[in-house]
Amino acid sequence: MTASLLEAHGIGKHFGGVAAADGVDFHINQHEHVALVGDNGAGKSTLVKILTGAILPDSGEIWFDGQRRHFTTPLDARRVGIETVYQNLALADHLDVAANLFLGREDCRIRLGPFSLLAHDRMRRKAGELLAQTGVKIPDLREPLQNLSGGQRQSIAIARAVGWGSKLIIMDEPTAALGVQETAHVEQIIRNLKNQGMAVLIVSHNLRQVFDLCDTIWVMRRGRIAGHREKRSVSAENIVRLITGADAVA
Amino acid sequence: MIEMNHMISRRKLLESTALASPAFTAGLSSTRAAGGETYKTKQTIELSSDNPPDVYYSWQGARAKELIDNGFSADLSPYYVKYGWNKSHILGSRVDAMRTKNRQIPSWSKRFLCIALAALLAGVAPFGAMAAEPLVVGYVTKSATNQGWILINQGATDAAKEAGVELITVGATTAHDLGGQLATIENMISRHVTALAIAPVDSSGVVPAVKKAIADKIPVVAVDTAIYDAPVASFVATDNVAAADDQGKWVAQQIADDGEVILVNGLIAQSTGRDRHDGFLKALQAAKPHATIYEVQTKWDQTEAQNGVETLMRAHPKVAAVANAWDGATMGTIAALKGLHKGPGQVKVAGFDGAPDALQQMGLGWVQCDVAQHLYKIGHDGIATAIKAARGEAVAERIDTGHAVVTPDNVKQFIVDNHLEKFMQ
Amino acid sequence: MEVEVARSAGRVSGQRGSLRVNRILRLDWLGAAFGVALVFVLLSVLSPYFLTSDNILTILVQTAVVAILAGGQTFVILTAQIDLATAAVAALAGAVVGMLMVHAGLNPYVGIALSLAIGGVVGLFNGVLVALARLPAFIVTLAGLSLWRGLGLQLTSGYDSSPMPDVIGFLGRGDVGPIPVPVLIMLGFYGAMAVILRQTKLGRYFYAIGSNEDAARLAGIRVRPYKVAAFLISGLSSGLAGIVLIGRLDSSGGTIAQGLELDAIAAVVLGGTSLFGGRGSIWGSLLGAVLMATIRNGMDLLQISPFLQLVTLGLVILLAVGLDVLRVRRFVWV
Repeated sequence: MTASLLEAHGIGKHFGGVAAADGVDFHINQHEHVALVGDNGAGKSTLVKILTGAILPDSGEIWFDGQRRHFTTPLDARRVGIETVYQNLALADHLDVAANLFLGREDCRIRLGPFSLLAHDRMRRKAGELLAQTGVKIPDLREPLQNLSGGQRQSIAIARAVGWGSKLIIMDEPTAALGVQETAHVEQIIRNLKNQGMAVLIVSHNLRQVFDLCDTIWVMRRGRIAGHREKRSVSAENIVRLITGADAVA
Repeated sequence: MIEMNHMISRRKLLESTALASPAFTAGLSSTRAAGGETYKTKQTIELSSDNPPDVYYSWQGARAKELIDNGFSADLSPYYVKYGWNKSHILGSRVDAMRTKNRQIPSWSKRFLCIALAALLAGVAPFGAMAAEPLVVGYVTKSATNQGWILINQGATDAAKEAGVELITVGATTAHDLGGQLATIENMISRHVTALAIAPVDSSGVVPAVKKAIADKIPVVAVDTAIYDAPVASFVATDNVAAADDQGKWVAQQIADDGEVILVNGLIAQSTGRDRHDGFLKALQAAKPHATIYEVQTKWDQTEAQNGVETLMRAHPKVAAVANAWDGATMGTIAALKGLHKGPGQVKVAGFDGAPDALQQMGLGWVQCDVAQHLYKIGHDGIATAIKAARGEAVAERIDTGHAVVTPDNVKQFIVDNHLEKFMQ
Repeated sequence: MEVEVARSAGRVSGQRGSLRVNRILRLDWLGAAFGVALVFVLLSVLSPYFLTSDNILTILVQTAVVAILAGGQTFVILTAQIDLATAAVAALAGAVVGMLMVHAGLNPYVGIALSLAIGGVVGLFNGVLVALARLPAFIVTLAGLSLWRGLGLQLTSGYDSSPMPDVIGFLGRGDVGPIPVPVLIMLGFYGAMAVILRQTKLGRYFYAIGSNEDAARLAGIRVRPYKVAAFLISGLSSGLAGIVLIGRLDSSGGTIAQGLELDAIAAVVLGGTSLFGGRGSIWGSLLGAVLMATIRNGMDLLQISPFLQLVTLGLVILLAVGLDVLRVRRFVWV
């Protein structure tokens, strides 16, 4: 029990007459890398949005780090250490790497509210350190993000999530838009996170990736948890059957 | 068509008076027709049929006269004169328009009510805006670009008041907003004004809307600026060419044979801009053919004038005189000269318009000559002409409101003669 | 897949090869600087009166009002909004304050503060309607074009007031040494704005919100107050422009500053600020304003016919914007 980082009990959410989430019980352990898979419309995004505070659940409880939590906005979730890397990356393309890494949490020399003076040099230096630590290679830190490749931008988004002392990073389809080589880069960075002891939840359609990166695989179907398995003790075929409902819920 | 307040009031009036009478057994039915000409046509058709309306709405003297002449209504003048209604309830102008010869009409006892109602509705004071289409003149101005226009518009307002005519004044939102003016004219057409007085921001640009108005039988009078290639009823303005000619002659006397002059133009696309430019140049070049003239082009904007004079005076410091196409530019020129550390009179300044602020500066020595328009008269005569045209009277095609060459010798008298004292600071 | 790999590899090596050159070419105000240089060279050749210190100073003075409007406008456009009513607000502030100073004996220093206050209040009003009530900025400020100018004309009954008190006259027509006061005001204003944009949190948030509003929100930035602040700054700059303008004209009225809002927006766009927000430079706006004033000055000096003047202005703007698009496409890989 003390090993669990995040616990969700009886999560329910209805939109109109449709149950997007129905009696969901879910947990992630400390330092664990977990995957959430399921067909389109299975309720994965709804569950993720509830866990990150973007949506309020109709029923159920969330416990994080041993305490009961109520998230009303994504900022609440962020405050307790849950960081999200969004599918559209939530990066400001015209700003450079350091600006994006520190977005919303700028380092200032003199504190004057909105007129606080930015500590440019300090932020750039720390940015360099953070990128090195995460394993991301960016030659010019002053380059606006829109000039960088998709893989580099994804890596920066992950580095940003890491940099804020988060305990759990949630990623939604992290490599869906990337080519083969870039996917490999990003997956390596995610593996590095395991070495740093960070817990990760990945939502993905890519079963190969899921088996490569994650310890436990959770399957959702029609708003319910169809089951969860340790990677070691299950085959891809079984997972597919859970996804499509060929197997009854265990 | 949406029923407007005055129509609802008319219905109430009918219900409370005519229909309350035992002479009427039937109720009220309404016919809808959009637009002036359509309604008139419908009215004529209905009146010619087997079952004409007993009470109907009509408007203004000329139409009522038409109806009487054609035997649709009786002449009631003996009746309302007997009761004195022409003094208390009906506007004299309406009465004049309605007097006509008698005709024998069947079932006149029912139809007489129509004309009485028409007269009542046309003239009864308490019903003001509800009144049957009295004379309404639409006045579309350029925006008030300077004090000159305030005087013109004052003249217009007064002319309408004297004639007892409603005046709707709408200005362009910016000094050269052609699109806005076209829309305003079209709105006035929809509103069924009986005449239009327009000061166009572009002499050619307004023509499509003007032609539409004329096709709708709304006479158009051009005020201050001409409208090219459209059958307008009249053009009321200063003879800008003659006035600019006087300005050019005066400036020619101020400079040496090879002197340098700056001419600040308004928008050449407007007839006023073009006429003043051409008139000035012709006169100056005739008197002093070896003079050099530098031109500033503006859109009647004072800042553009100031900037242009500033730029050109720095480049050509020997300029002896600056002539301005309007007094807004005169004020801009003075500001430019002050900025160049010139004193009053060092460079001669000739204005155009006779606007109060420029005349004030003449008193202070900055302006040596101003070709004054009779601004008040332009507005006044413009609207008066429009009213005449609305009444179907003949008007002259070109009305020159005249101009005066004002110099420090006669400026005081000019101010008195033109009632400008209250504008002087 | 192979193509993607090759492309990303190519980008990486291209960056390493010419880092410094790229950094320079990425500067947003480069296009406007190039435009100004081009026009200066052209006019120096075509007119002997152009390249004199007198004329250059004249150009700078004539730039001042539009430049101040463009400065405030830069903030609004950076946040992907727009303010069409800046000149109308300048006219309102100038007209009202001018009238009060001339006819009611208002102290000129109070007048200056009042002009800024009027601009600020209108700016707040716009900001609240756009950022809080979510009305489109284009519509709100388009309505403002008529509303504020109409209010100015109404409050002054259409009359001009003149002359302005000496203090105001000094602001509009005075000199400090060889430099005209409006130019000093303009440069001081731009210096302050540049510091805000590049060195403060506020400035960075303007860029962030313009670049990706959702990203900013998700990063915890409270977007709405900043969007309102952009309009507030635009309003204040309109108030400042109004005072300088009536000082220069030596008279005030509701009809001043006609059409200047378009000049100001053109200056901002010429200066490299994207209308979609997130990218731009305040110095670019200054250069853009200088470019427009230089072109007008050149046309006066060269005595170009009035119709050709409009054509020329349009062509130069097309050229400047076209070159800037080329620069962005080639060197910034948009």
